[in-house]
Amino acid sequence: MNFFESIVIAWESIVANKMRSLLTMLGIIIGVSSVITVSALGQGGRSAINKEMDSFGANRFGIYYNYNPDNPITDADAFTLQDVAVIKDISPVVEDIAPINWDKVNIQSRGKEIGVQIVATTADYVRIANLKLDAGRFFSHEDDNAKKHVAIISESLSKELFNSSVAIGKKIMVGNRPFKVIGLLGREESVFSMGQDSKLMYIPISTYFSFSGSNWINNIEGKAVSQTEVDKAIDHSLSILHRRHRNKDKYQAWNSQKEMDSVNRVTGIVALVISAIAGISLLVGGIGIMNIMLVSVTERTREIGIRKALGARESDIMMQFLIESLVLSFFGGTIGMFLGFGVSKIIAGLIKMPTVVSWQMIALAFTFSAGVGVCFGLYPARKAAYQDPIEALRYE
Amino acid sequence: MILVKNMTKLYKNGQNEVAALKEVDLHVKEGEFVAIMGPSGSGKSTLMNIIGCLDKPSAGEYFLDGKPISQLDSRRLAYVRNKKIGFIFQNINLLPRINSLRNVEIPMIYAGVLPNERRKKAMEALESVGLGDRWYHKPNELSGGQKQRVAIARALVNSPGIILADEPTGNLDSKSGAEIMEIFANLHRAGTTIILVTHEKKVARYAQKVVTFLDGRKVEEISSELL
Ligand SMILES: Nc1ncnc2c1ncn2[C@@H]1O[C@H](COP(=O)(O)OP(=O)(O)OP(=O)(O)O)[C@@H](O)[C@H]1O
Ligand SMILES: [Mg+2]
Repeated sequence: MNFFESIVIAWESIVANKMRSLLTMLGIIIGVSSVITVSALGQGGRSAINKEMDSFGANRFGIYYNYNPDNPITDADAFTLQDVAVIKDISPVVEDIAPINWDKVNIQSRGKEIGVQIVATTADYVRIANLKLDAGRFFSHEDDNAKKHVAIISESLSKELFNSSVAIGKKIMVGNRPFKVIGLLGREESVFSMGQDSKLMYIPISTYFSFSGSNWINNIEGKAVSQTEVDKAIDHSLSILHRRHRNKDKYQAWNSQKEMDSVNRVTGIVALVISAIAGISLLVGGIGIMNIMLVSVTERTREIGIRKALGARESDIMMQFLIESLVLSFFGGTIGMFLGFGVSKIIAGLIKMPTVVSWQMIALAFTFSAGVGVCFGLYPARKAAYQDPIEALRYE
Repeated sequence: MILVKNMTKLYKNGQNEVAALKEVDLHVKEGEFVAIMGPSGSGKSTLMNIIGCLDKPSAGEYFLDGKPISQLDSRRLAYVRNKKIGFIFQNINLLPRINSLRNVEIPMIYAGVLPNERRKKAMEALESVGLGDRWYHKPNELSGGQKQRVAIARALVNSPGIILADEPTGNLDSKSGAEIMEIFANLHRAGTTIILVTHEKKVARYAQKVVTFLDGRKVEEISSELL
């Protein structure tokens, strides 16, 4: 008896017991659809995070103070604008570098107080952070040197303050200082912000120092010439800083690659845990198949007896039942796959996240469901195959 | 050639043992037509099952074409059941969920006959038992006699050298019974060995030899002309 013949016989039996077949497949359907859903969402989330990271800049790094009660930071250790200029001059692997101070201020707008995040930096920052402007321009070195009161604001701040889309040229009062809006940042599409970006206001750092009462630079951010040179860029920056300030261990650095790695590690763990759960549901589906196949073998003892009496070999009977469970789990796998696509699309639509369905995943789901069919079909099939013909014929 | 030697079959039923066959000897030559008679429970079906390689004796030996059956492994036994013997069960034993054609095709599936030829042969076999118009009926859509005839078609379809028929006319009226017996007579003429269990003398007269059983023992073996 050949393989095709076995499929026909398996098909006959599946069609003859539609309800039982459907129930048998249910476990596999649920298993495969949850695997597909979970991994489609998982990979989608991962690729969204990676995209975000890419737009953030893969070659980015930053330097900040190493606060330590035993070795406190003093005025002599504070970053200066000259430090920044020297690093850019000396290190061939640092493409751009800028000081950056973050500050929260409240501003008055039409009778309301609004909390605004001030980002004080230099003109170079626009390239480091890869900022995209919708309208106007970023401030220049000349604006910075002249301590001009100019600002680039984020879309949500513009909406909050002016309602209308035309913000360029408008004035924003920070305390009693008027800032002129010269640029408007594009909206940041971000998974994390869930469509809400923060109220940001970029101003020249010299202007900021002129009213903040301190000349301390809190952070330095830079961009290496390439991703592979990030570590070298950090080394250069740190050693220049330590040499210029004649100190050591006062500064530390972060880089985006490290952050990306740790995010990937976390998403990897999440994916692993969820895959394990999905795997368990496939296992449960497999046990379901085994259960019903065992019932089916008992129910069809007489059929097995008749087939053996008519010349079926043990291998023929084995093949018949094995292929039946294989066909069942294969069908279940196919249905589960489409169900999984559907469910992941719906969820993705709800939480505004992309889904990624890869061929490897489909292949994996199929192999797995076929594997489940064979593994869990094997025992019932053996049980069927080794029945004694006369006992089986007498079975009521 | 069928040779049964000193065969005993015991069934254990709790503490007490039932001897369904007691020291039976039987010789059926190639091409011979033998009828087996005897009251209910006398061991006829038990003997047929052993000759059909479905069951094993408790003692004694069974030789088929000179070879002891006890020496065959399950694969060879399957081959013998498939190719050498056509078995018609007392309780018919059709597969309930598939139609007559598919039922008749089963022995050919295991014989490796290709689908087209299989279908053709199954149709012919059903026609030869007068069921040319019942190809697509499932067993529960057939009368008792029609089911019996499907079972006969199924036993004949691989052209086995031996036909074992356990009361093949049990469910038939005398007219269809006679039609069926004509089929056996023709097979006999063509050289097939036939062993047939029956309660009716009229049926037994088609055979050459009549063997009678009583309480598991062979008590008589006579020519059918003496019946
Ligand atoms: N599986 C079994 N377990 C126990 N006893 C059995 C079994 N099969 C048959 N027997 C006994 O063996 C004896 C012979 O049974 P068998 O079926 O061979 O009779 P038979 O001659 O075919 O009768 P009938 O004409 O009614 O078909 C009976 O007494 C029966 O009870
Ligand atoms: Mg009987």
